[in-house]
Amino acid sequence: MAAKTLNRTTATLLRRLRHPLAVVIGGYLILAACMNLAPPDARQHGWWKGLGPVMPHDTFPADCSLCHVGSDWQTLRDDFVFDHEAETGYALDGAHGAAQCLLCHNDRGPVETFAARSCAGCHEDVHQGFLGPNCVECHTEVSWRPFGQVERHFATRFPLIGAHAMASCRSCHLGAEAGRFQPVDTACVSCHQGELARTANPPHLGLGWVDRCDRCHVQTNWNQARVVPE
Amino acid sequence: MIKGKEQRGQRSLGWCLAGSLWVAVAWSGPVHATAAQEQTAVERFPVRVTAVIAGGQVEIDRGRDVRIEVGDRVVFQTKSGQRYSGRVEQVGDRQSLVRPTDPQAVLPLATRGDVWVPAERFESEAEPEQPVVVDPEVVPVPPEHPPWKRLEEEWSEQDPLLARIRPLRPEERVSRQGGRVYGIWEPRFFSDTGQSEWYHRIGGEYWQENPFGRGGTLRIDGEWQRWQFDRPFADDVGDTGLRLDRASYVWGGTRYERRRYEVGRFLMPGMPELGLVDGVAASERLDNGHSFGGAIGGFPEPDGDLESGHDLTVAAFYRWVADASERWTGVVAFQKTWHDGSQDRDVLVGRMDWMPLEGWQLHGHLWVDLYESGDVGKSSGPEVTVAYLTASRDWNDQWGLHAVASYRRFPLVLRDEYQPTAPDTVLRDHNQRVSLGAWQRLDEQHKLSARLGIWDDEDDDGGDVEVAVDRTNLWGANSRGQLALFHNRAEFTDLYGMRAVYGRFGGGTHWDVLYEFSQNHERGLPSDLDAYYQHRLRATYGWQKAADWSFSIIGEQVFTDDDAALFLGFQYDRSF
Repeated sequence: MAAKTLNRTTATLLRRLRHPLAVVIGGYLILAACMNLAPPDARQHGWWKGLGPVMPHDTFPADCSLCHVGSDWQTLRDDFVFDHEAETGYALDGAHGAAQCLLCHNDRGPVETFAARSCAGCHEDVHQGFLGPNCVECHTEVSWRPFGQVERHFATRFPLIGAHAMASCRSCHLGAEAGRFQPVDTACVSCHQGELARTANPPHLGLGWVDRCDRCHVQTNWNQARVVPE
Repeated sequence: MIKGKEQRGQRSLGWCLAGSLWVAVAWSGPVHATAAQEQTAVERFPVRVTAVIAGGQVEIDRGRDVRIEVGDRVVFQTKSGQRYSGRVEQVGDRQSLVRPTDPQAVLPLATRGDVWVPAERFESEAEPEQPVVVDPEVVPVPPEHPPWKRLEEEWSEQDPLLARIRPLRPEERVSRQGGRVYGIWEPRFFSDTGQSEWYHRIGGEYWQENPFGRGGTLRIDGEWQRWQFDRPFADDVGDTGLRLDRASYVWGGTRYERRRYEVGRFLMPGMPELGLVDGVAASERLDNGHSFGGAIGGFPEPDGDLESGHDLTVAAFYRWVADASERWTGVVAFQKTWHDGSQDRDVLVGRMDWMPLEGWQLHGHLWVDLYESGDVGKSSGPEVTVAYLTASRDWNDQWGLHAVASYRRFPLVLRDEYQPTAPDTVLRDHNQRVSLGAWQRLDEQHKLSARLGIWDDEDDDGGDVEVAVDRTNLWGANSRGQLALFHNRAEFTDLYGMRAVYGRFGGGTHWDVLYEFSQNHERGLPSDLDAYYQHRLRATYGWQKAADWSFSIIGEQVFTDDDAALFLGFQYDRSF
């Protein structure tokens, strides 16, 4: 409910503003400021005594000074590095290479258990199971920005042709911004109800042309039909 | 002329002799090498530089423990890939001093290497020892380890790291935080209607561990967005909103606390298929690793602003695991919802995962809606609304198979979960699809892949096929190219096309360019009017700095005989 109230307030404020673009630019500036204010002590291998002891070191090198400074067990060397792939056989690519160790090695339990579940072991499936278990078909470890959606649509009954290829996902899939890709009926009027209602020349609704748009139109042009019905 | 011929003849004879000698050496080389290896079989042990000694020596972390002796050979490889060799000059119990052959060699701390130890030094160990017969009734079996003298609670922060000590519990740790922020700007332009679309999104995730000294975790994810459509044919439209994806506090569910609680807005724990909940959830892990739990609360609509208040949900799940590795799991859940006070949906959801290290990997989920006599248009009883099964396997990373079978139809629900659909659509619409993909690595650089899919729905049927060749290191290192041919008999079109992609990556950046061409035939139109061609161009560039900053830009244009559309996208992201 709080979000709903905030939504309304924000929308009202913006409607009263004469230049929404100024608000957008301001938002980006605030975002940039937030980025610069990110906590400085967010080092990947950051460790301090308040976190207590970590996992067993049985297989680590005999020389403690490779990682630790002097006699202080709680502080790691500034130039400490850990070759995760060589030591564990599991490469940390992209953003994983900069993740804090404790994001995976923590109190949940043995990390092997979670790694066995692939991405879903650590990342919640915000698509709620609708897009299958193989995240890397659309995402990389460098960025969660999805790629290749148009190519992937070629493996469906509705390949994206013409303007469809450039349309935002949310135009058809309600909730796409939140990662939820609801199934959609492929009939044209499912998405183009507005175009149908606006068309006055000829008046489609008046003539009863309310479905099967594909009998006259191709997917690349609404303004001009290729076939004129008799 | 004759002299010239003789010279050429002698030269040819010389080449023949040289070639024969080369073949002979090449042929006999491996034999000699094999013989040499047989004479000096060695064991290789990984080592690391643990100290740099004045005078050019370095210390490694292996010694007599792996039978190293003076004079043994060590090969180091620096992080930049340079290799240096050296000889052992002094040996200790667990360390040795090595002098690199190249006096100019720079071997920083932690440089890796291998030491070569003759296998014969281990032969005496390989001889089987004579078993000692012990009468258990006469000789008591000693305990595995003497009893610990110190109690766990005696641990202090100054104790050595390797001591048998009690780890700090979550509630005893200092609070820490992290997250990420991002911004996205995406304009789109369409020539057909003259419409332009503008999307601005700013979002972030934030988490804080132990914020209240009770060991829990606070998580907040959300996004602010504004979209605006400039339409020459009608009034412009736009909206601004804040979407809260998550705002929850969770505690428990760790190795120390088997019960887990979560309050706020969250995805159903252990069963994200059941959606977001504004409420409370509890679950418990049993001794055998199984777990069960449930949640109750509001049920936000799954659209762009996740509006809550119209729907309520109650859900429960049971999760079964085959063993501690959790590579074979199954979950069954039941969810009941109400919309504006009226009973809405009863659904059973099952999910199964089989993920062995070797062999076939399986994943499947099944949704069964339970209808009652009052659900108009549906016969009372169970009806499958979603079924999904995928199986995949690869053989030594040389070739692999991937199969997917899916079935889906709209459930009959009161709440605004799907795009407005006519009642008849809800009752009739369904689609099912089966696809099979395979790939094979032809050599170190080439990979061939193919995919075949067939589908049918309430009106039609069709299929699609795609064959592609990938090549790595094409026109330079760290590059990749792909050429694909595809055909799709789709709902409204039959199309044939090709796609070419080339990209490079490495050094924190990546880019690629794509060109795609397709010939389309609109089904149902006369054959002289049904054809049109489509071209699609795309270029992307991504940049990552220090792994916590990333920026990407994309430009994509599609143009056909009738229209054109352009998409631009910018995204930046920072983790902290």
